[in-house]
Amino acid sequence: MQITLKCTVKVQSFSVQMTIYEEEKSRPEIIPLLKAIVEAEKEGKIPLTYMQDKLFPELPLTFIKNIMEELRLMGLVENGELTERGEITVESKEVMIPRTGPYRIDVVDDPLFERVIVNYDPLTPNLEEELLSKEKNNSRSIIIPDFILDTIDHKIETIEQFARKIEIKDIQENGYLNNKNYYLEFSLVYNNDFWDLKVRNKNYSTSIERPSLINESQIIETLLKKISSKADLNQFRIPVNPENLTATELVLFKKNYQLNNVSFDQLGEFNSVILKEIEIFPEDDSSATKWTEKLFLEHLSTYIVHHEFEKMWTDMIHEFPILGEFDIHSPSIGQLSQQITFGSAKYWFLKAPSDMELEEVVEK
Amino acid sequence: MIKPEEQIYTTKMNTLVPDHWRIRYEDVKIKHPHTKRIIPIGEGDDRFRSMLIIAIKEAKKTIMLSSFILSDNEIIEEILNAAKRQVRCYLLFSTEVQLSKDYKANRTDFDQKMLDTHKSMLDKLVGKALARTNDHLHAKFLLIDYNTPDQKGFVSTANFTKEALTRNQELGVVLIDHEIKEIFDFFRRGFWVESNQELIRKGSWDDVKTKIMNSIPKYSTIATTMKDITDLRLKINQIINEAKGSIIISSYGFAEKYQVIQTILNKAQTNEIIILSRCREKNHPTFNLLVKEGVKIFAFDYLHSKFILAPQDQLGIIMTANIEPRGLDTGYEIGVILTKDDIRELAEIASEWIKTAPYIYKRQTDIQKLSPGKILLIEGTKKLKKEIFSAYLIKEFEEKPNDLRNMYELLRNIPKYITEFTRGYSKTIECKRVIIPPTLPQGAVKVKAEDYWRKIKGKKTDKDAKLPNKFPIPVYTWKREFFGIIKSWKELENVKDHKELPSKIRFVTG
Repeated sequence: MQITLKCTVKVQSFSVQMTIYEEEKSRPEIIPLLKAIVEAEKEGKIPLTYMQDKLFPELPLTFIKNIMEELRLMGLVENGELTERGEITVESKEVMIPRTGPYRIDVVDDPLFERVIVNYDPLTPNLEEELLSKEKNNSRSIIIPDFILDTIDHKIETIEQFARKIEIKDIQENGYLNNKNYYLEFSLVYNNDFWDLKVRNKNYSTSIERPSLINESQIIETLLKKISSKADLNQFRIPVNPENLTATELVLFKKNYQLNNVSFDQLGEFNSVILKEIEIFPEDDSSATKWTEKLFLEHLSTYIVHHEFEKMWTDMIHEFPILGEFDIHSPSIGQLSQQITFGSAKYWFLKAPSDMELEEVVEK
Repeated sequence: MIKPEEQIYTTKMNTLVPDHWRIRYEDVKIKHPHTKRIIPIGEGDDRFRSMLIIAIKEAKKTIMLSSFILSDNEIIEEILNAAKRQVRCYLLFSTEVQLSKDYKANRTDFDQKMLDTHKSMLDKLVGKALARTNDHLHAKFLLIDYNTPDQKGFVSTANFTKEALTRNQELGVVLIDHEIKEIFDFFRRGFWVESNQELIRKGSWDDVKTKIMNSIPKYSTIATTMKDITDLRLKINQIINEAKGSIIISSYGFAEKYQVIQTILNKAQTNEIIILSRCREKNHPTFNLLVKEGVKIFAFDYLHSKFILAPQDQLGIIMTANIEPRGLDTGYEIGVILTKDDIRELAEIASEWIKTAPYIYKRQTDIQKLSPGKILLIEGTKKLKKEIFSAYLIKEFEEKPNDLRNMYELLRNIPKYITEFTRGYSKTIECKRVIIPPTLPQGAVKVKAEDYWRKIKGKKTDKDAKLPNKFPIPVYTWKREFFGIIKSWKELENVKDHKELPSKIRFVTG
């Protein structure tokens, strides 16, 4: 069974003044430097000289001072000691560098998206005025909505564009809503016990965490009930009348469905839901008999005599265990032939042996 | 008086007239007897065809039809109508390939039209009837609603084309229940065992697996040719051999050097045998052998029926096969063994056909042994009507001598003449000559003997010369020529050298 829940999510773009801590991945030396400071403190030594001795014996103290200054500007060190941020950095081994400035953020306000900010793009400070003035022409000044402000102090994992974590520390309330919006095609795919999230956008693709709000069983049950009030929720299958089934559906006992505008609690509304290979089964004994007849006719490819008919009928039921759950009555050849278009090949396969007494003939 | 003389010169011919058909009648009405079970076809008598059409119209459950070819539009239409009523139609035909071969050698526009109708019929039938085929399916019969109280059956020597069912000399047999049962078995063997292709999907013939049957057919009312079965030939031989009286055999084809023909030849030495056939060059070698043994062979332009009948012995069979290996040694053919009543009916029909058959076969013969009359020569597909004359005047001309003495010579001499003759054959060729005696020209003046002789001897009269004062015959002159009037050949004989006539005189009649 495969279920695809699709919706189109609007992505809005804002220009905001934001303070973030941004993961720094290109400076692997920072952690060892911070560790060196901690060790220096433990040993009661001066961090500068300790670092010079341990890490940079060939380099002058001025160099070490510059490093310490850099660490201070990063908010990791103050007065030769680690700040709280510095201690967290050593402990978590994540270097998060504070940055303040104008950013353009793409946001989604949808229950499926735990992460509100799906993408961010720093606006170059030197060109701030110029760009802001440009953006002003395409933007309108607004008070940043609460759902965006609520992201403050939340860490956002793995935004692909920069492949790094950020932590929002502050967003100014006044910002700009850009007119150009994006739409994400959002597909939540359930494929035999496994949920996968796919987001597609013509401008970029982004990876987003699977929503924790998903209750698989609830979703499947909701969907099956929408298809049929008699859905078997234990085995996740739908009873159907075989009359309008295709040959493939008859043989596989599976059918595809599509539902539109389906809402789920806490997940919101999905424009379209596609259910593939949903197990189907006969509604009742009569339906099961009809099903068997259709399968029989589907398999019928040559002339058959009476005893071959009976054997083929029995074999058909054995081949499809679901049919064994029902009380199926074998029709006569004449009854079965009435369901076939007069003059078609299958019609003759059934009638000719009877009309021309094929019973005793052995095939060469 | 000397009159014109007519002379006829006759030459006896020794021409060999090739194998031919003597034309007995050119326009004779056949009166078919009104029979119940053996139905004659031909000369527009379509009673049997009507029976077939009505039977198809009334069919409720099944139609089983076998024919070498089906191109009768009305029959086709009724089969399609039956299919609309959900009557299940099963059909056996010869393949298109075989049909094309058979009609190729002497194909006429008419034959092509028949083939085209057959092919278009097959297109119409897909999805409505089930057709099967093989090269050798030649039997012609129809079964309606088999195994129901309303069942009907017919065997035909005619293929199911309109021309065959109305124009040709053919036979139809209305079947009884026991025959229907046996023929049904024959049909189902044709369907499951003898066929190798079926038309179940539009556009093409699908190969089918030939099935085998465990049982050997044992028929009492019919005799058949099928795979490994040659009962029909055995039955034919049996009838011929057992007959003590006369035998009438009808067939479209008679194969040369064939075992059954030998049986007939042997029998011809003791029994009267009459054959009914069609004017067909291919049969001539066999006919020559038969005629030599005293067999009389009659023909129609469109005979196609096939039967063996020994009326005095109450033996007979009507079949769909010709007297040929293809049909009696191999093939798919059927023969209905006749009852006493059937034999009586068939004898009436055969008698009428023999009586009215337009042609009788003659081998190549010296023309002197033939009587005058019209004949038909067959050259491939061409039929040439010729005539045998007892005498034929091929040349007639006049001679007009300018002197009776020349006429006399002509009368004594036989002239040469051309003997070409294309209209036919003649036992004698004649040449007629009319000799017209010369006459005195108009305006001629009578001459006095004295005046003539005086002129000849000179102007001066010689008292001593005795001048003839009279010619022995009247003499005339015209344009300085002299003409003597002769009344009889005797007179001519007397005076032709007479000195008392002008030397340059022409003898004429008056």
